[in-house]
Amino acid sequence: MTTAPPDPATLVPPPRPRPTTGRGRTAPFVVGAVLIAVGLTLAAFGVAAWALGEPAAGFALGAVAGIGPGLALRRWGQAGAPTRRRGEPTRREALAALLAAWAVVPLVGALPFVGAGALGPLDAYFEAMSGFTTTGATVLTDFSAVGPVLFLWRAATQWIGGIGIIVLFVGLFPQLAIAGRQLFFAEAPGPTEERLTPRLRHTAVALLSVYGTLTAVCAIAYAAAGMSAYDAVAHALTTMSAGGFSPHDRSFEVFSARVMWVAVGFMVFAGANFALLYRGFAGRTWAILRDVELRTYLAIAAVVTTAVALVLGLDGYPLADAWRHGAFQTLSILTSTGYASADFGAWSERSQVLLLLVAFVGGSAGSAAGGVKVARWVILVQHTSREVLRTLHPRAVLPVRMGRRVVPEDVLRAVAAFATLYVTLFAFATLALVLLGADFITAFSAAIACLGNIGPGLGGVGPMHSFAELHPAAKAILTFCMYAGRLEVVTVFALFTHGWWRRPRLDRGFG
Amino acid sequence: MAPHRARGRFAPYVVGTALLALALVLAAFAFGAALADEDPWGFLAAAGVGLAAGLPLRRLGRTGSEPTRREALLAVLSLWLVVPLVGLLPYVMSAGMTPLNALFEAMSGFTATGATAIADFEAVPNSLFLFRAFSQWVGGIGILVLFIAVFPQLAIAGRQLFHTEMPGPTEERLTPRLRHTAGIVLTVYLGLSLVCGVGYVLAGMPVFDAVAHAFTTVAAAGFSPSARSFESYDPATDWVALVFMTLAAVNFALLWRAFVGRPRDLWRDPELRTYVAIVLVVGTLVTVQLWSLYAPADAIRHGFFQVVSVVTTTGYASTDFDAWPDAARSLLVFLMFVGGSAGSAAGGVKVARWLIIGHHSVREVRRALHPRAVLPLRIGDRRMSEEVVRAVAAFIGLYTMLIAFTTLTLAWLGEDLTTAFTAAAATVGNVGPGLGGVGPMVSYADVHPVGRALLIFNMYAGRLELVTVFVLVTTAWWRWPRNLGRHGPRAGAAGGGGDDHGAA
Repeated sequence: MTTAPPDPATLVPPPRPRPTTGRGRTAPFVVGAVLIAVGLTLAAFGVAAWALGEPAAGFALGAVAGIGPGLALRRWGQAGAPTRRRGEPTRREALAALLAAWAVVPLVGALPFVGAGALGPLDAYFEAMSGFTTTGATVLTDFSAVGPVLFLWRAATQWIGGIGIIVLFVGLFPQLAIAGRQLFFAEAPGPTEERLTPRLRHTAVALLSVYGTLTAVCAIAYAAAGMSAYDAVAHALTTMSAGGFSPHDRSFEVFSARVMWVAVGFMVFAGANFALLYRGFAGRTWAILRDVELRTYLAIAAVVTTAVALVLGLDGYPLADAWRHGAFQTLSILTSTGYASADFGAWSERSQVLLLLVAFVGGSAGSAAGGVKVARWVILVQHTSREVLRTLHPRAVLPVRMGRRVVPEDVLRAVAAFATLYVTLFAFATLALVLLGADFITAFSAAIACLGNIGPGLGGVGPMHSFAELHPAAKAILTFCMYAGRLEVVTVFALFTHGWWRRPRLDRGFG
Repeated sequence: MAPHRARGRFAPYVVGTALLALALVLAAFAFGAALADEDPWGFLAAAGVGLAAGLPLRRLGRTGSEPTRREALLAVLSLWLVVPLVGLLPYVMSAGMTPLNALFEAMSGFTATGATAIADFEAVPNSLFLFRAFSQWVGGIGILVLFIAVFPQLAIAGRQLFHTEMPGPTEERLTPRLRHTAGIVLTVYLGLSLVCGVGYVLAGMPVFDAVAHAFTTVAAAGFSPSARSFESYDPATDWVALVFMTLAAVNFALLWRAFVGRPRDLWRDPELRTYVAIVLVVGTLVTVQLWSLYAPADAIRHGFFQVVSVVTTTGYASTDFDAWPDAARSLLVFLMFVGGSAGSAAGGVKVARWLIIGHHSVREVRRALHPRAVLPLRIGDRRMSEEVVRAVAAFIGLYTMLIAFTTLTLAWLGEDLTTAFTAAAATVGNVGPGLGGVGPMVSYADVHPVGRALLIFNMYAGRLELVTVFVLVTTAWWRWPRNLGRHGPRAGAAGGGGDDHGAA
């Protein structure tokens, strides 16, 4: 290793000898860039709040807290990677970047809630995490104490979180082979054989165009169906991100039947694969209907809607209302949005069981919806029936297929592990909540509502209640569940492995 | 491969033999009932049916050749269906139960579940109570042999893992090996039952109750002739039950090795260590929840008794745990999914499977960081093959789906959520009582008849490790055996399988 002697005249440090010096600096760079963007957004909201006479201190504080550290982090990150092209991030860096981003951004995003005096620090972080993970669980109890700008910010967090998660799911995770995702997006928009960063940029632009267009159309449709312009925008932001925040404490109950049907239509889109929608909009409209996941997703939605409508009909709803509430609530839970067209916490238990089951299904793998995801269920069910067949023919060669493609064994393994971790985290969260004093139904449904990024649960955390009354420790656990559920559980648990904390040198052998 | 002419003859032989044995036992019970001035006709009728069906079946069957995989499965599947069908007669005739409730009771007996559909314990004669306990004891033996000898050989639900673990010649064919294993298991089982019965008597139980409970303790089953289960006995009996329930859910092969002089193997076994750890941790948690309800000694006794009773899937109740706080009840529900050791008559998912799937998940988490790392899966010092992991994952998937489906169905039939969910978990896991409408001091008699039929299926399927039952709904099962040659002999293509010792 030979380095040129430093030039004392210019005081410029010598160039580092290896191109690997960029390692470990991607995370600060990314988090810094995101913080700056969030800070700027907060500044804009702050101006609006000030103009409308709402408390703007929280927004200002958030803007400062975002832009200041953001700039510093970004500089630090850049300093490490003198030539950005050479510093292709490693797997660990990419994971560190997204883990840090989803933990830090809600910290900044929580400040407006604290500043407006609406929530305490822990509650505000819960609310902001619920926003950026597009969950929709709320700890707000007094909706009249919050101004329209703050509500709009709350909706915006979900919209920002939504596009972030879609880009992650479609662009980054398949590349990193997280939780079996290498299978789902072989046809993601963008060049395939390229390196991570340019590919990601291309994918992000493509997805953002779909996401943005749909949001705009959704808002216009809401307005046309009779919502005020403000409500239309606030709800469009949380519909397309499968988020579920509403500025009204009774959610969609306050709106007309027509508005509800518009919401149903756009929730169907929000739970679909955005990479597929991109192709659909690009002209191959009918080709997307051949997609196995989309077909299964639509079939589940149709069957469960019928079942819920049937139960509601039996329970005494008029037929039209039964269909409307059935479709609305099924789509709302299936896509993990979490709107309520009625207080389904007060429905009969046989309809609630259906909604609980659907909560474990989730939307499509390429959407901002949470849950296990339809594609994974397709694989799991096939895998299970294959093993049943193996009972009879242990040596039979039985490929698991997704459409026409054979699912490789490593995807099967990853999906099985994902489902196990998911259920385990869910079980432990339920137990912890019960030990902290929640009743069983509340604990059970709160755990799945947060882990699946749905929002409202049943019982004490039902759609017309809030998470505010839970034990502070329970809220902290649920905050973690939202975070872990959003980042596909596996990435978060990777933090707890021995391998993560070892010196970077050691993992080079594995790539 | 077996000679062709003997195909399809193994199952009738096994079922016929079992029915004849059952007829003998039933005749003995009829004799006993007559002596005790109770109604013997139910037992006699059942004995007659057993004899009438068993003789021709046995004559029809052949045992000369090694059974094929399909024949072995068919034998197991029909055995657990036909025996309860015959065994339900005494309940109908001597206790006046409806046929559905009687089948429920008989299935719950022979699957060693312990869920009861008897609403009125006064109407049941003592001889029938003893038969009910005995059916669980016999079912327990059957299950042990199945779990330790038959299923490992057939590579069912990941059980090939335990193939090498059993004492006895490993490379042998199914039948002689079965006999050898059955002998060992029976020795341990009989020994435990005997000591357990004596223990109960010494702790102050009447002799009849001691025998009846000993039968159902070692089978991890849970029937009690008393409507209030262990609540009606001296607290000392709770401690005896606690010890023997704990032992009943330990791997019997391991217990055998401990008895023949290698007790240190016990502590080296990862499954046993995990099992004990779960009992200690959850037992403590439950005890803490009960601290304000009972005197300290009672809180410890009830807490640990109930934890052991549920985790071993026995299902005794030392008190009405359905009246406990939600936290304690939830912990018990959680345990229903854990189950005992894989080499015991306990139900549930089994501790070994959780260990495997847990290690697998941790491995996949590490792969998120190092996707190309070669990470073998080890439990203790044994390496798990990929087939075992795959089979275990599918088993747990099936288990969860069946519970979800049952919960949904029961809720639709009008049960509340708690009742529906715990009834599903308690039957698929062969635990016995659930919570709410199927709590420990209530019976399953009030569940909707369709729901009861589904729960009967759950006990059956749960007992036979699910995959064996669900294979019946595949088209491959119903295809003409000859065609199967296309898949069957493609040796080594996917690795794994019946003659493969998974834990190579």
